Amino acid sequence: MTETEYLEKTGAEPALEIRETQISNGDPAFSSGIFSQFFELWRYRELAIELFRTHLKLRYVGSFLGFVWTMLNPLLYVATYWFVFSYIIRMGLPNYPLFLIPGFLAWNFTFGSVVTASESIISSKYLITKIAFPSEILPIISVAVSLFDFLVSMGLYLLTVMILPPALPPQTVLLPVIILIQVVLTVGLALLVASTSVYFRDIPKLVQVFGNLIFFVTPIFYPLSFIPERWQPVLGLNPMTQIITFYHELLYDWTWPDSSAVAVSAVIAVLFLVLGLWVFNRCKHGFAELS
Amino acid sequence: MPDLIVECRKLSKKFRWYERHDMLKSTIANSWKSDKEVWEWYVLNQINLEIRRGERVGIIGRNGCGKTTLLKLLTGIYTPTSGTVRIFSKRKLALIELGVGFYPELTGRENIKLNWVFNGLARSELKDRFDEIIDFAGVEKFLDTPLKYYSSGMTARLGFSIVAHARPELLIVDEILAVGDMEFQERCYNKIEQLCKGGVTLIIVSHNPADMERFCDRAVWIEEGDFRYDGEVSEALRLYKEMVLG
Repeated sequence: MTETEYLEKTGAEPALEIRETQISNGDPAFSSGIFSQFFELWRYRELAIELFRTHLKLRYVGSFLGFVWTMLNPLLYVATYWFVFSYIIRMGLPNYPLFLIPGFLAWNFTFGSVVTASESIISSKYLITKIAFPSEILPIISVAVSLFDFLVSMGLYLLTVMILPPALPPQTVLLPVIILIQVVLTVGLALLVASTSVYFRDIPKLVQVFGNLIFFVTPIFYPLSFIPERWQPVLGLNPMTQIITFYHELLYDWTWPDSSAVAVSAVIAVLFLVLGLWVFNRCKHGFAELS
Repeated sequence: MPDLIVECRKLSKKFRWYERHDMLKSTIANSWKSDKEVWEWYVLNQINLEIRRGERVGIIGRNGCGKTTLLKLLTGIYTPTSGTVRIFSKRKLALIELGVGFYPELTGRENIKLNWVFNGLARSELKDRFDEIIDFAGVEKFLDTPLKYYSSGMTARLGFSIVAHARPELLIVDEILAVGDMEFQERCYNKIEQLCKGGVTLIIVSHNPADMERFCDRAVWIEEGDFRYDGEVSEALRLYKEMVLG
């Protein structure tokens, strides 16, 4: 077979081969198609990179402060929470900003990703109906843009802590592992909301409202230990609870997290990714028609 | 078997219209109703299509007969309801609409780069093609101007130029050349002719009989989701005209 005779099938590969008579909703694309899906994504990696750059570039078009907003936004929030929880409602935690910042940035990463991802497919309607490309790229880019902000601001935070008296805890070495787990979880959530909101346009709004609600029942500006013990398992149902707690343990408490807890978190994150992919693959055949 | 580049087997596409499906509330409310208002129809019904390498196929038919649907199935934008589509080509390029994937805030140069990869092409190839693209589109002076300041004609030229200079092996063209002035149309036609001489396989939708005669050596007439005629261009045009004029 010469190069030009290379076989390319359009659309979702397995679905085309299997479905001689099947109806479009509910096809078994996932089980057999996952590898071709990753192959397809790999083939379009240059598009993903180029779109990622574009999104970074376009974010602050026409804004005077531009990239400064990436730093300024979380800083203003942190300053507000710092003021409220140190001077109005006294949390009683020494060096409160050091406690607050890492968890807050981490939360911002996941929440920001999911919010933009929920609109990513709907708002790219004109692309999806006119060009053939793997639509998974869109929610993944939402995550990538938020991750970029998170890494920059986290890097600045660590740098500041390193220079100023508190010094960097040795536990920082474990930070990439926690971030990786969080990225996997976030991609799963992003795929989930991006694909379902094509069918239910309320989802982006629900994400906003519930996200703000969940923010308060996630130990971000308070430690988990402040919650009565019998309620702690309820908070634990939220996968972000454990992840934010890891950040607190590593960067504020200077303790090594329980390895089994890390393992459980990783498994949950992977399960969310699988769920997100599965739902996305079931939904994506309708994108070009419904969006 | 001849040297096939496109093969469709029993290809069908069914569309649905719902009364209103995008609200959670109405979905729940409607789930109680047994007679949900759903319209379904087959835009394309059990179509078989084989195109050999180097053929130039024109597709004709009335508005809404399924021409664009067929192109979108071939491109991979739509997934078939049933049947198979196989494309035996690594360089399949489509012009469904000119200027899709352009970002108005990006400059001409940035948009060329982005659009190139949107078409699934490797960035490394762009270097050799870049000058030809801007030359054809006539935008060399405006490369670093945001696209929002381009005239619609310039944008269309750029969109066409990128795909036309990407060395397509299979080129799928929807009715895009109706836009633009005569000079632009003529330039595009000449470019397509040039590509045809180079051996490109062309699938084109057009309402203009003259275009058909000029480019195509085969015509397919689609009517009510099925192929009415598949063969000689002049014969297809004659039959189609006969039907339209009654």
